[in-house]
Amino acid sequence: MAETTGKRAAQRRVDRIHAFRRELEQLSREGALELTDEQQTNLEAHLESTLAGLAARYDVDISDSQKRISLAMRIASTLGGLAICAAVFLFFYRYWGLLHTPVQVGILILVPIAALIAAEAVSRREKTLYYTSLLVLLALAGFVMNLVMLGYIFNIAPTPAAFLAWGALAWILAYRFRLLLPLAAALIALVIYTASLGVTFAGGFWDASPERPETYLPGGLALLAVPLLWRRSDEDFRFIYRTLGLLFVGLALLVLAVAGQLTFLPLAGQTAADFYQAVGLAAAAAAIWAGVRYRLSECINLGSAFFAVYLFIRLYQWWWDWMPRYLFFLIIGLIALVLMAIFHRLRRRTGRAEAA
Amino acid sequence: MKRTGLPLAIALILAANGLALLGVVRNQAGEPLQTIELTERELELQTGNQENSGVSLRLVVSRFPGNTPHPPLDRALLEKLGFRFPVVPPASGSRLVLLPRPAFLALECEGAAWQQWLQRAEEDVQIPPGASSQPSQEERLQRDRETMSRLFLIDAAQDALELRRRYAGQHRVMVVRATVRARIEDVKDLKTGTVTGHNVIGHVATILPAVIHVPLPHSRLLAPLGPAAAWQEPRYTVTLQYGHSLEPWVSAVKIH
Repeated sequence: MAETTGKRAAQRRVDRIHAFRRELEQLSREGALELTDEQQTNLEAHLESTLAGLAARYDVDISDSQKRISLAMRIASTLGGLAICAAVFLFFYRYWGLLHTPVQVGILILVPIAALIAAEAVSRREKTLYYTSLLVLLALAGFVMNLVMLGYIFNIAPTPAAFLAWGALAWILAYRFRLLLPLAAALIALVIYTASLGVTFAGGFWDASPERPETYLPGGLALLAVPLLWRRSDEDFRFIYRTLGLLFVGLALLVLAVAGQLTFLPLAGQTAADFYQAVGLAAAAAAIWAGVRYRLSECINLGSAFFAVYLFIRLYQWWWDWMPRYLFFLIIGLIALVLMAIFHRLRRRTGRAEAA
Repeated sequence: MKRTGLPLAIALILAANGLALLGVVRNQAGEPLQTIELTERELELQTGNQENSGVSLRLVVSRFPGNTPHPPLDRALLEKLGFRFPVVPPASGSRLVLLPRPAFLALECEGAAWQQWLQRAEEDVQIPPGASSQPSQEERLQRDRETMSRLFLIDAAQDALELRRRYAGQHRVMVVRATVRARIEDVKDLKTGTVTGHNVIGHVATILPAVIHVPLPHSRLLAPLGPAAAWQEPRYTVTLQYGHSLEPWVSAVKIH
């Protein structure tokens, strides 16, 4: 979680330099490329100074063992952050009954603000942002606790506006510290908010959005549109927008393909399910096409997974009841082989496109 | 974002809290819309434990036996709440999922609905003399008379003002926010099992809020009481006040 987008770009460059060195050695052994001593010395000096510069600026891992330790630190920082959030919440829960209302409210407001100030101060002292990310997580959890408990203390009817506030804070912190986990949290909260507005617009109570999966489609599509409209943003951030957008759209269509009675459309349950199976298959195929065309692995992977699930649902509904089980699974296996052949061809085409 | 991030984040936290607290002030400003005294029968105590020191009260609304609330949230009332039912009911076996809708409920404490419930319960106890279950049923009725919640749903509307006007001056009626659900059920012939028609049934999904927080100093009186024993007589009376946003708060607690 702790890696910032700048650091991730620097780390990718370090990895490319290592790969370049290994390939250069291989080419030299095979006699395909021979550098003069002077060229070799100049190249090594340049690569070393580049690595030293990246290490000094971003504290990137320049060896495999450093990389493994960094991974362990990322895991520890995420788990530590979650554990500290739980500790703060449980501590408050244990003693809040002994406090008068103004003190309760004061603590609830101060916890996220104090965590934010600490995150800002710590971020100026560390390059890796492990401690900063932990404090950002604490600030977000503190703000969630803040609004939930405020509602509980004053018996306020629950409102979807809380998701807007949580999403906005997580989004600000994601862009302030260039962190991916707060961005994912922000986008999830904001899509839940837009879905709840959709249900309210339809006359329902806002928390019933899971009962109308179509309400998640506008939010999911909006997430997919952001990387197209905002091309200058960081590639890692665009990856999060695309992945979550695909997940929201894909899961909403999948639920509707199975439970058609949850639709807003004036269709009978089974008709709606059939309609959404067709839409889902088309959307999954479109995601795979876009992934191949624009070289986006997440689109290919998620599109393929959804395509396979839709196909399985369709075949199950057509054949499960009347076909012998062995034949059903045999046909599924054969279809999987055909799909593998198609994906193999797609993979080759992607490889050629990347080489070109 | 590097320079503005922190001030913006802090401003957001303060603004969200400010708006929430402004809502609380507006709710509690001036004369409360309604004040009602309820006992432990209607407000079940939820004391904290080692991990949670908070004290809260859960609003308990009684229902008539079977699946029917009082009055039944029938098709006509549900349509008034905004539910739209298909002209052609769904095919048997297929499920029509209707969204829960926000509504306002009129709850009456110790009124005509409670009397009606008692009357019906007393009629049910009229078992021929000599039947072995009679004493325990009478005993149960007596206990219900003394311990059961006397709070019943008596009406519902989309507009709180309309409901408050309808029950103006009735001190035992409180108007609360809630969500209501509706479903369509097949009516089957008991002998043949064939579907002969459809019933529209509504029920209260949640009262908002169903659990009411008790702040200090009132919680000091309730916390030592602990959970109620079965069939225990009410140990306290709580004065609840509802403000302009129909959000309640505890204004007094009296221990019996």
